[in-house]
Amino acid sequence: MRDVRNYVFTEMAYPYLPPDETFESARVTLPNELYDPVAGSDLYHSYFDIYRAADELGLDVMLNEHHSTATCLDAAVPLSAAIVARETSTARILPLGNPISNRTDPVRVAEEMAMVDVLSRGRLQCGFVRGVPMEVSPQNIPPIGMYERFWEAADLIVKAWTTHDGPFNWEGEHFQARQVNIWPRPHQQPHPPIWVPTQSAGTGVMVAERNYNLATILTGTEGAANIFGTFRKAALDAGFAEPGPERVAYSGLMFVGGSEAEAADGGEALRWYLRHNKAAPQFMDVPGYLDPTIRARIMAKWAQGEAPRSPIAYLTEAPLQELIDLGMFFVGTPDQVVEQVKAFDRAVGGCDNLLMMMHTGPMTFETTYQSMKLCAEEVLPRLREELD
Amino acid sequence: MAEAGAATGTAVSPGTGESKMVAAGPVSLEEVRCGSGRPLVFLHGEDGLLFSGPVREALGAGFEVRAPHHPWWGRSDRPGHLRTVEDLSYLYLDYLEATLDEPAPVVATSFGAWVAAAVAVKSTAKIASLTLVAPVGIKVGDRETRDFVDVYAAGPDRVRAANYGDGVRPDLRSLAADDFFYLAEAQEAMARFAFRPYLHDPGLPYWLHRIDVPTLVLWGSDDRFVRDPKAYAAAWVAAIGSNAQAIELPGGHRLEEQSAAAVAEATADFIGTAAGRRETTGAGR
Repeated sequence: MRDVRNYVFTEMAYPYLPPDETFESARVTLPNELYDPVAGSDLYHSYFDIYRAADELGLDVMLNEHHSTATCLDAAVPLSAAIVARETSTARILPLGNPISNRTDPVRVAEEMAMVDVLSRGRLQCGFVRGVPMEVSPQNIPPIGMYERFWEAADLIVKAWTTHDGPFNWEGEHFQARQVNIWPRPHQQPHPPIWVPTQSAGTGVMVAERNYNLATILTGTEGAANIFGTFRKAALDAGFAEPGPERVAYSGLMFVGGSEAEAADGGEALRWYLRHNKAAPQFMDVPGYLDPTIRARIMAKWAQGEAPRSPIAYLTEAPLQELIDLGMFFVGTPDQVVEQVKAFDRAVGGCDNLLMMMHTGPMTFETTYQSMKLCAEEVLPRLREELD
Repeated sequence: MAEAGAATGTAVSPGTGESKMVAAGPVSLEEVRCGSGRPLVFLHGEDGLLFSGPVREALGAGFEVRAPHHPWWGRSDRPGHLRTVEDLSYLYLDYLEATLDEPAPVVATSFGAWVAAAVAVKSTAKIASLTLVAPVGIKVGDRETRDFVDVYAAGPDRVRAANYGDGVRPDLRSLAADDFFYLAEAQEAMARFAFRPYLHDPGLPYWLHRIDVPTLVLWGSDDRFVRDPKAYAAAWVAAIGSNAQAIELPGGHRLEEQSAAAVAEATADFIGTAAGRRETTGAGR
C-alpha cells in the first residue's frame, strides 16, 4: 500500500486587484495602496482556516513565500509554518520553501525550522528553494552565484541541525558564522527531511548527490518524468539506493467536484492563478539568474520587437482538458481525479507526494473545503489502495 | 514591443583590430589593438567592446589603442575570485605593469571609468593621464536617491532611452546571435561587479584625492542614465582635486558611441596638454 499524500497549497494571493491592463506588474512595483489591510485580515484567517481544515481532513500542508507581490501574501514561511504547526495536529508541514540563496544567515533558517519541527512534534518537511528571479530586486541579493550560495547554505543548515556537542564555526566562501549552536535542535533525527524543488533535470542531479528529496512544479507529466528519472539515476550513480516514490513530489492544481459540472467550474476557478501572475519582463529576465544562452535569445527577439512571453502563457487560455492531459491540472469527479493521478503516477515512475494548489485567488473557503473533503475521503484512500 | 529608437539606430560597427590574449599576472585577458603610435589603454564600459569600435578607431589615429576585455567579458578569463571592482583594480595594476614600458594615457568609459579610478588611486606608475567618459563609481545622492537608472527595474527600452537620450543609438537588429550572447554575458558580468552597492563603491570618493595625474571627466549633455550628470561630473572633479577638469560634450551616457570623434579629439587635446603638465609637476606615483 502506497503512502500517497496531498499537501494542500494556497499561495495566499490578494485577489482584489484592478484589471491587469491597468498596471505593469503584480510583482515588485504594484503600489501597496491597493492592499486593504482589513480585507487582508480576513484573507489571512481564511487561508489558515484552509490549512486547519486540511489537517482535520487528514491532508498535509504546503507553504511558500514571496515578496513585494500581490500574488503571495505569505511574507515568510517560518511565520506561516509556525502558525500551522500550532493550529494543526497531524498534518505534515512543507515550507517549499526557505529561499536560502536569499537569506543572509542560514543559521537563523536552521534555528527557525528546528523550532517549527519541535513545535509540530516532528511534522516538518523542510524545503529549500533558490527563489524566483522576481525576488532579486525585492531581496537585493546579487543574482550571481545563487546556486553556490544555495548549496553552501544547505550544508551549513544541515551541520547546524546535526551538531550537538557545542558550537562550531563556519568560514565559507559565501557565509561566515560564529559559535553556531542552535537551540532548539530539530525534533526529527538526524534532521527533518529536506526537499528541493526544480524544473531542471540538472538541478535534480545535484539534489540526488546530496540524497535530498526532489519536488517539481508545474512541469507537466512529461517534464516530471524526465526530472524524476534523472534524479533516480543520479542517486544510483552517487552510490545511494534508488529513490522510491516517497522521495519525489509534484506540484499541480487540483479540484475535486461532486459532479463534472462542479469540477469544471472549480477547474476554471483555479485558472485564476495562471491569469493573475503578471510580472514585468525585467523582473523575470534577470542577468545572472538566467543562462546567458537563453537571455541572448530573449534579447534578440526583443530587438526585433517581440516581447518575451512566459513559456506557460498559453495555458491561461488552453482548454481545461488540455491542462489535465498535460498533467498540470487534476480536475474532475473523484473517479476522474483518481484516474488522472494514476496515469500521472505511471508515467513518472511513481510519486507519492502531491503538492496540490487547491485554492487560488477569489475561491471561497467553502468551495475549497468541499474539494479538499472529496480528495481526502474519496481520492486518496483509493490511490493508496490501487497504486502499485 | 517596438524598440522606440530603432528607427534612428545605426548599424553596429565593432571596429577593426587584432585580438590576442595577454597575461595580467595569472589572469589572461583578451586584448584588441588598433591604430598606431604610443600606447593608449582603453577600458570599456557595460557592453564591453561591442559598440566602441568608432571611438577606438578615432583614438587610433594618434595612438596604438589597447583595449582589454575585462574578466568575464569576451574571451578573457573568468576567475571566481574576481568579485569586485577592487579586485579588478589589482588585476589592472598587473596588466599595466606587464604590458607597458612607460606610463600611457588611459581612456575609460562608464563602468570602465570606475575601474580606472580604482586603479589610479592605488598607483599611477603606468598611467600618464586619465580620461573618464561618463563615469560611474561614486555616489552623490542621498540614501533614498539613486544616481543611476536601475537597469534591473527599468526594462530594456527605458534603459536604452536613459543611455542614449534623444541621440543616435545602435540598431540592435543588425546584431548577430553571437553579439547577443556577448551582451548577455556582459550583463551577467555587470551583475557580478556592480549589483550591490549599485554601480558605486562607497569608499572610493575618499581615495580619489590620490589620483595625481591629469584627469579629464567628459560628460554628456543628454545623459539620462545619471540623475544629474553635470553635478555628478563636478563631484568627480571635486573629489580628485586640482588635477581634474570636466568638459561637457553633446550626447548621452554612451558619449563615446554617440560623439566618438568629439571624445577622441577632446582626449587627444587633453593628452597633449597633460603631457606637459605631468613633466612640469612630476606627477605620477
